[in-house]
Amino acid sequence: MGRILVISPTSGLTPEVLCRYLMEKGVRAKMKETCFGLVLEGEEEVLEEALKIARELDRYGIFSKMRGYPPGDPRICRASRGGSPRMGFPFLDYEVEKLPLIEEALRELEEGKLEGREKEKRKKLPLKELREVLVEEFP
Amino acid sequence: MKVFIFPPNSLILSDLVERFGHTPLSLGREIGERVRDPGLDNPPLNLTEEDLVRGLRYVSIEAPSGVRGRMGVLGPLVEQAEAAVVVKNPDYAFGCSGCARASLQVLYLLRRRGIPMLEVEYPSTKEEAREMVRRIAEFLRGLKG
Repeated sequence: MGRILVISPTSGLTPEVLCRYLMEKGVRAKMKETCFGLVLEGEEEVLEEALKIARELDRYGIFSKMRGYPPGDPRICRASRGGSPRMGFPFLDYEVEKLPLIEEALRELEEGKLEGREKEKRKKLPLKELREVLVEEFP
Repeated sequence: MKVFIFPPNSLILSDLVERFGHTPLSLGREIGERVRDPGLDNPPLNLTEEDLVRGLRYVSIEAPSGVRGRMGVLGPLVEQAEAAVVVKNPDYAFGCSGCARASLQVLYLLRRRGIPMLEVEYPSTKEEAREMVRRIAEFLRGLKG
């Protein structure tokens, strides 16, 4: 199976450092460095182990999901398709922009800062106030 | 527990569901199984005729083939789901991961199943991100199984 490891833009890691670390730890999976992190291909247990090892470097800054196509697959590889953006990249790019926010929120959750925090619910406008607004707007 | 995520290829939702100890029902795994299956005889497509036939369980024959094909993949995931985390109005669910009609059908099927479902929105500020993560964490920790 395939898995993507995405490094948050605010993390100090680079795909190269992550790749070397996984190789040092003896992860037996096919790895490909990309602009957003790594693409891994191998047995599912190996990939889960690789994710655990990767999170030793940065617990909150590495995000992961399963990936459909194997790395370098000629059916979707840009080299064989003659260019154009990678399929699914715009959505991944959109979510990568949000990762620093999620990373910080996860860190705060772990530290217990988010416990018991409820967003103040928006109440309905009382009828009296609504009437006053309407009278002001439409005398 | 198996948790359906919507958009089904979301990195953030898939990661959060795994972090809190559940199994995300995501598109990556489904497509991965299909593209590694030698039965897929028509690359670069990632669907087989069986998927289109399976899609007929969820939409009528008059539905566009794109909707039918997507439902052939997503429909069985909805049936397996024991809970769901849904992002409301995600711009990118309209595009390579699905079309507006297929997304509506998926949400309709999820609501009809009556499983626990959490609706959140993509954050654009720190406060919204805290709210999103806190709600997802509470929801996923509260799921038994």
